[in-house]
Amino acid sequence: MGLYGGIALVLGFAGLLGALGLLPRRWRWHGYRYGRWLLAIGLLVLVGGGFHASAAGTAERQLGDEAWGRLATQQLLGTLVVFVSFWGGVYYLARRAGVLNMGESVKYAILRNGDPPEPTASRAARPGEQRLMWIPFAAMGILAAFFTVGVLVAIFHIPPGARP
Amino acid sequence: MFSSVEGSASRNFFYTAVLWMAIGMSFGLFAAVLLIFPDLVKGIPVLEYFTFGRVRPAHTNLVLFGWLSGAYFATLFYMIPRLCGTALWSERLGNFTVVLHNLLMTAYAVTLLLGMNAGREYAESPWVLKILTVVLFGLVFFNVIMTLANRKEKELYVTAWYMLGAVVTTPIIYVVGNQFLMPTNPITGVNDSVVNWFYGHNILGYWFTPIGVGAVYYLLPKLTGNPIWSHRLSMIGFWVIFFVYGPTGAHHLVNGPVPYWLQTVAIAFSVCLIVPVWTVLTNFYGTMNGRWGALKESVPLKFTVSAMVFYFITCFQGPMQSLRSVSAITHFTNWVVGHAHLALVGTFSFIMFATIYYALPRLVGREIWSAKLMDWHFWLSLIGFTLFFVSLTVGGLVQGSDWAANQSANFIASVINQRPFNIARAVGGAMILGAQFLFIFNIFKTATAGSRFTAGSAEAGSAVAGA
Repeated sequence: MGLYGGIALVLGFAGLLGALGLLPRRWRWHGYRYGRWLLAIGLLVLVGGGFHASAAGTAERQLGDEAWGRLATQQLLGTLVVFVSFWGGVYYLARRAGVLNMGESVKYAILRNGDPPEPTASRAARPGEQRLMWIPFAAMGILAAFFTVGVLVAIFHIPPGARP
Repeated sequence: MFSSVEGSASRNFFYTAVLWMAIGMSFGLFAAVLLIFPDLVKGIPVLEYFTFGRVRPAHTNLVLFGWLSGAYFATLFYMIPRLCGTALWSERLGNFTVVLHNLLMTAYAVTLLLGMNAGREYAESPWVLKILTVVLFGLVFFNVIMTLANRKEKELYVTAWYMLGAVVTTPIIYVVGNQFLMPTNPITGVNDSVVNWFYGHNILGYWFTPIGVGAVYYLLPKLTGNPIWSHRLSMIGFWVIFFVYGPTGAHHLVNGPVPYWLQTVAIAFSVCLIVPVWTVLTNFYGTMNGRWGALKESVPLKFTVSAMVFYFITCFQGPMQSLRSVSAITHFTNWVVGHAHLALVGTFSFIMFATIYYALPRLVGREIWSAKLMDWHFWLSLIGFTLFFVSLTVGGLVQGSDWAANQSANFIASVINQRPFNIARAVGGAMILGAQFLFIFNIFKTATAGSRFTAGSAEAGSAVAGA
């Protein structure tokens, strides 16, 4: 399920960025054209993968009880129905009330709402400063790698009999 | 009796929140010291109220509800009126809630140190105080909703959406998670655990996360002069987080005696949380584009950028540790403690430091007293916190490996193995606490001796940004 989820996330998010026109300029046209398809394939992988994982899942097989599997499916669907209904309802009401702006116009108002920005907002950029962006980027990458390696070392260092 | 001066409720909440932060973090440091010297308070009459079992919940409750929630109330009272183009609905009611909040936190501290503990994570206080907590949240939220209802701006900016979402969902989470505020605890056994973690994790997802992320969406344009990169993407992040977060709580019970399907749903939804995090980080990088130089001069921006790094790491760790194989190693270890601090200190407290440095001069009409102290506050917090969470994370992996390898045969060896990590954690914690005392001193001096706040250069920034 993790594999299906990972593939679905990558496809879905790339598709979303493409469909919304948020890709870098040279890829933007491809994004508009293929983004929605990537998004659809991502969703398909997620749903299909979910069904495959639950059909072939070890829990159901080990328990050997079909009713357990049916119960789980019903409860899973019930959970999804509750959440989709609730947030779908909220979304519908927000749209209907006219307060929901998914576009870009509203974001400019905050710069002129009478709350003065910091002086750094008017500071002219100097050459080379853009490279500072790599500091948080590197920090995220190093820490993510550090955690992943740490977890893998911990999992593979324990005796096979005790391994989960 | 209660002031009706504009901005006074927000300002007072900020003042008292930082005091609760100092008290709450002091308890945290004391708890960390007790892990190194477990017998420190043994046999000393007065200190019997300060055993680990009492100090630890006092620490968590005071930093969560005294510091962070207090600072969040202040942030709501500061940002919502400005986003709505109107004044706060009632400053008097706002100041009443400041007093109620402080009385309540005092009662939290006293009852927890007396050993009155309901035995549920983040919900340890007696049920009478829980009812008063709901009253407090209800009054604050009523004030916020009335402000939103009287707004002049028709359409809502993403910050307002995040904050409105938090205001609507938090009372539901709190009431359900605290056994519907019943004194008799009708939900027992495994179901109690499920409900407890529905609350324990969702108070993070529906209260601490949305207000923190909403504040970042407010601060970034103000600190960089750029409008946020994509409002549409931010709104997608908002709807996804509010849809996805709900069922994740049971990932705290993975490999435990709760229904397998519930664990799987929690894991799947936890992995989906990567989506809203991506939207925030993509927007963060897009908004910062061309303005990275401001990082050299703006301490609030340094705190915000660091918070974004820690936010990514928190949300990278979270889905990872919800997986069954990883959870089997990390569950109950110091790794989880490190993860919780990554979210609550590294991310949301850092965002609140940035918010206070930005908002306080505008509320009190005075510049921050010492820029040098601001810098010290940032670097000591950053270095201390990095030492703190790295030691907990590595220590947690060692602890998990010890338990898995030795099973229960040599448990005490795993305790001894934690000693160097506990010492490093306490040193990191001391650095963080020291930084906060500098912060409080700077806030005090700002309020009493700061030079007059001028918006001249800031207005120039507004003009450039508008262009």
